[in-house]
Amino acid sequence: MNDKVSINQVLSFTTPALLVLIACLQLIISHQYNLSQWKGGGFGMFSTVDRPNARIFHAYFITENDTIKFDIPGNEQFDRLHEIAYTFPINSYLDQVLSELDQFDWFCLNQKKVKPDTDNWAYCFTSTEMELYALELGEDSHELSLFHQIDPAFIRIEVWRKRYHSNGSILEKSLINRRDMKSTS
Amino acid sequence: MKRYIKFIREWFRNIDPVDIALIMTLILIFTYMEDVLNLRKIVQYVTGGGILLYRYIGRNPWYWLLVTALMAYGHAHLWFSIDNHKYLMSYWSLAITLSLFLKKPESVLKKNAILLIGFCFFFATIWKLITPEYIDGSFFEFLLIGGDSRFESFSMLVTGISFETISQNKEIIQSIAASSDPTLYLQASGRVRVVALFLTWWTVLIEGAIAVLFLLSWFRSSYLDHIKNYVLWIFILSTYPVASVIGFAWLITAMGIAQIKTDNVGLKTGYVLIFILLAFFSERAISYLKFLAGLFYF
Repeated sequence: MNDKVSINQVLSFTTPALLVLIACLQLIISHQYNLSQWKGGGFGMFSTVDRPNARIFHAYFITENDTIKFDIPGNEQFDRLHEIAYTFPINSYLDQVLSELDQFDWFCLNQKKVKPDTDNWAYCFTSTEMELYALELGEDSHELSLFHQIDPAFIRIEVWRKRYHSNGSILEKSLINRRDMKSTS
Repeated sequence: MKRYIKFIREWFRNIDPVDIALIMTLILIFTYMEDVLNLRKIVQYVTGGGILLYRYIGRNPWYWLLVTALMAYGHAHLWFSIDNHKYLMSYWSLAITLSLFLKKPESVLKKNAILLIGFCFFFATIWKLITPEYIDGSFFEFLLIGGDSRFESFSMLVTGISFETISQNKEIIQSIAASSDPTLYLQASGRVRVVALFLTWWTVLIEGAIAVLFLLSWFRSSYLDHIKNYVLWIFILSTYPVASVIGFAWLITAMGIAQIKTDNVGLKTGYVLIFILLAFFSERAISYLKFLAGLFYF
């Protein structure tokens, strides 16, 4: 009888105990490792401006003479990693993104060539995407000739968060984490 | 006609709220399952079948184990991006499964519903109290001046902020990503600040009240039983149509009805009406209803 009662009680409390355990873990991880408090099952939504899609993600190719900022292209392969990395920007996830980026040959069109007043930001595509782009535009397109292959010494990524201060109506961004990787390609 | 009305009234009086909660949960999962690993279609077949054949399989623990396993597998794959209520959906489905394996499922499920609601709101309140940008009103002020498009109409109506100001603020918010200056200035007014502070403390007060009332009622059932349900209704009706997180609202409604007594027709009716009302704020629910209506029309 006692055994039955205890099994009943254990099963009755299993789910609430799981909720409390995960919520406590999320609270700790969020404070220690910058997991967005909106995510992870801790019920911290609607308490901060710092939701994952409000975070800022910068990627750079660092060559011998230049630092080129670029947006990671959207595709299924990058999207999941990208989303994990800005929601939970610990070193290991950022390093995974860097390794993923390092696997490809990259071709970039520096915006300074098109608009001289812009900062050092570029459109960058993988070789596969370039082939598709060439099919779309035609091999002899002028636009394609503006792209050049990048041979970076390092690849860098940064994740930033936004904060809003009602006192002074100030919106500020601050760096959460930055990782560099020596390029092997 | 009178006979039919009497029959329906009697049926509704006797129906166990747990059964209504289970049907609501199946509708919720059918509508709001994440589209991950091609699981949504499978889950929709499983839950749709469960709704149609509820009489035969609705209380089968193995059926619920299948629903829970499919949903939890999908949610685990997206642990970093799903909203908190998707976690709660998995917990609730697990609670249903475990309770159905036990001898008195109704009593276990009621206790689980009370604790899950109580702890969910407890942690929501704790997060708000320990976040400085929430407590000083900055969070809601940011939402009201252009930080969240879901609050735009509400903000223009209540704070009097103009569409132009919101648009300018949105542009500044967008531009900070590329800006070399780490601080930019947005436009807010005194009235926005007052509304933001009201929303800040109203939310803490009502979420904290739900946490306290539900967790206390788990220890001792009393006159608080009725009050806690009314407070939960006020929260659902005042929050979710504005914030448009209908999946969360439906989930809390399903858990809410699961913990009331069978003979309490008033509370039962209230929860069912809220569930139906919320459907009108859900684009997904409306599109599925239109699809169903189309089937009958032809």
